[in-house]
Amino acid sequence: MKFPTCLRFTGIRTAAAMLALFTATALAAAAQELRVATSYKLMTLDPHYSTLNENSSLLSHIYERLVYQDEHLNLQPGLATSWRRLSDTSWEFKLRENVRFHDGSPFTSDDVVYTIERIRNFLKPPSGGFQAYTKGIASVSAPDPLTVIIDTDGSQPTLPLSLSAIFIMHRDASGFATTEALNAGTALVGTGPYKFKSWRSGEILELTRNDDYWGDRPSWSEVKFRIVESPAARVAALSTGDVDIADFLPARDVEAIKQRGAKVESVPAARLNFLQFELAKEAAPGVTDKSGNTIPNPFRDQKVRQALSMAIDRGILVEKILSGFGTAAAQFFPNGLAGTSSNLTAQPPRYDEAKALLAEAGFPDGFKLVLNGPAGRYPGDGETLQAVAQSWARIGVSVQPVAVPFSVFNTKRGAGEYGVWYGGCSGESVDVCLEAVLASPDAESGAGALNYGQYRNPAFDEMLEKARALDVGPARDKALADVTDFVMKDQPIAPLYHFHHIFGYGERVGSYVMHPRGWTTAMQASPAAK
Amino acid sequence: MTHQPSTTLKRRPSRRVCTPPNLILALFVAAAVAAPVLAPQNPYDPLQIFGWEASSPPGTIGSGGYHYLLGTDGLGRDIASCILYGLRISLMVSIVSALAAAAIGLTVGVTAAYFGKWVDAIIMRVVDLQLSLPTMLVALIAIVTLGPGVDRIILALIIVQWATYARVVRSVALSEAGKPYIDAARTMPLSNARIVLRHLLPNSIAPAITLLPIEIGHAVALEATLSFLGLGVPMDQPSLGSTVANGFQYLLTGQYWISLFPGFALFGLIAAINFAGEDIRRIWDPRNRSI
Repeated sequence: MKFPTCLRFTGIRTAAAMLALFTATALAAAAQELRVATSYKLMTLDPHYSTLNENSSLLSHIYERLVYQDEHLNLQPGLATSWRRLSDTSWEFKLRENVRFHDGSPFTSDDVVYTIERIRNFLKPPSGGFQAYTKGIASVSAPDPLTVIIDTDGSQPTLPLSLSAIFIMHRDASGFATTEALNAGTALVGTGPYKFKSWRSGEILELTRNDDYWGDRPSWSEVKFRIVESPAARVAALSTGDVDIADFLPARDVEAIKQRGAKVESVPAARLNFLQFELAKEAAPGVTDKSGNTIPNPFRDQKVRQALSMAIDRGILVEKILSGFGTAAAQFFPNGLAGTSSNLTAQPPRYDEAKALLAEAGFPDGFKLVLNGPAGRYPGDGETLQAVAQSWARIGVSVQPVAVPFSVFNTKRGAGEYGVWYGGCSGESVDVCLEAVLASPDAESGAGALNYGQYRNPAFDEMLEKARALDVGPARDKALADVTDFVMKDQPIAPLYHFHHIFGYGERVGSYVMHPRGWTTAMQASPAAK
Repeated sequence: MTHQPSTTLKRRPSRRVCTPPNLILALFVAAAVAAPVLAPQNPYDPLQIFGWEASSPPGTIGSGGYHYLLGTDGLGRDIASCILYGLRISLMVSIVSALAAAAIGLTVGVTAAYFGKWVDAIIMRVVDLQLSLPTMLVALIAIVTLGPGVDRIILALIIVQWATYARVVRSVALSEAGKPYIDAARTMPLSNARIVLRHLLPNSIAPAITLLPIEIGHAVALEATLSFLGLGVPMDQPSLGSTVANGFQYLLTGQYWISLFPGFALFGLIAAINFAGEDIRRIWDPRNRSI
């Protein structure tokens, strides 16, 4: 490069070079902006306000956890590099060195103590959801800046799993941070790869790169999440290039999205959609004989439940209704994830056998029922009710499918107005769903929170409790698989499918690593190579 | 302007019954009545539906021996059968609701005109109030309050439509009520109800009859709209509107037939009713009567 002599030694050359460099950086920065259309309606910036994915997915950019869950739901080091049990009731966590919060202060064991205290002692309902994760903790202490000792009430083998849900906040000299203060955008410091920039509740979240991040340099200089609740609008935003990533796309739109040049990734979700039966009442609501007379609750007979589950054509559900983006289910999580049983796989429908079982149970002519469910809450929910109606008609059970908005459905289900209905469960591990959906309901311990059908099986309760007392690892996984085998023989629910999370991304994104729990984060996206 | 009776007579509009719109409408009605015979599949009977044949393109021959002339929807229902059965629902709902609304509107309109004063004022303000609300909004509120179901849709459509009849009939009844034969009737020892129903009403009925076909067309469209929004018929009883709605989500995927054909049927039905309504108006119009 030849510069005029007058410029050679005046420093202007340096300035010009710097200007060029600056422009290049600015251009590169624009190229490193990531725009995401997400269905996760972020309603708060308080990381401990609610355990909903809606909050934790997006807030995981700002805050980090001691322990992470990888794509197979196994635990990985996060802000803690290692952990071990000192005794039956005591755990030691070693923390990562040289980690700094966004305000520059170092991350220490005191911040962990503060976080757990905030959840246990400071937050009041309705923000008490995280207390479920700290329930078994008796005390937390910080013997040195990089060690945390947690003492528990009784044995807490899943403490690291519980901690994989909790975001670590920084201890502020001014006391506990209130939800209002955090929502106002003040004191919003975490250790995460991205820093908070701006936010409008339920609309937008903007983040910038944390250049001092302890791990690999975050890939994107700016990240902008736009909350787009309508799936069609997310499809449109991705198709027109308005965003680089769109999450939770409808299966039926996948072909059209691919035709327009976007790429699509999917993963079977760590969740189950199933049919649940009313088991406590003498007469199940909406269930009658063929001429409309009330009959004793047929679902209390194990044979009826088995017949109904056996007669569901799950192939139609996953191939036709979910367009192939679903896996037929026989248990809570897709086969292969930790704690699942290899003995349980979905079978094709066996109508003759099912009809014989119904006859044995005293219903040779079948009966009538109303099948309830939400409309538009889960992929394929409304259509599934009708497909199940087609299946059950073949064993003489006539079904009136009724789909209503989720809020209405949820209220009526809670009020016990349904006889049989479509439900769903997801969680960080399979025992969460086993306990929530099938354990005998107990208000005090919180067991059976989703057991709306009042299924009670003391033998199962005992087996589950024993399995949950084991340390996280292969022995526990095996025990949970055995518990699942045992309880599914009784058919307390009729599993339907694990739908797939379907994400799409445009040309500026090179790859996106899917997570079975359905996270949407910038960390999972890598920029396309130029 | 000079009066030329001869040409007026010659130019008198046709009062033929067998016009093309009337024939097309008759065809629609016949198809609806004969749906169980004509349709290859009963889309309300889950045993006749094969889920594995969902989303088949037009012309596919299914395992049950059905020839899916217009293809199947996302649950395996034959679109042609859905259209035939949907016509039944659409026509039944719209005709029943329009007749009922006409009956109510007539009675209310005539009553208002006959009694006048505060009765008229109150009734007509209620009518004005309802007519000032968007039809769709009233229908939506009615359905949300009453709950879903075919009978509820009919009720909602009656609620939406009666005011139009009342408004139109009242204006005619007002002029009739001032005529000598009504004054004569009033001098007789006749009850008000008898005068209104036997004397005033039959002479004020013409505008309501003119309005009827147009309102039936509106009712078809409104029922389809409600069903499209998922507020109408039960999900396992497809009507024209709900079939269009079912297919709507597949439009981008190339499965055009689910929405397109029921949409055509809906368009044809409403157009036929509107054109036929014009014929009916001509036939009923007193000025067109032969000497």
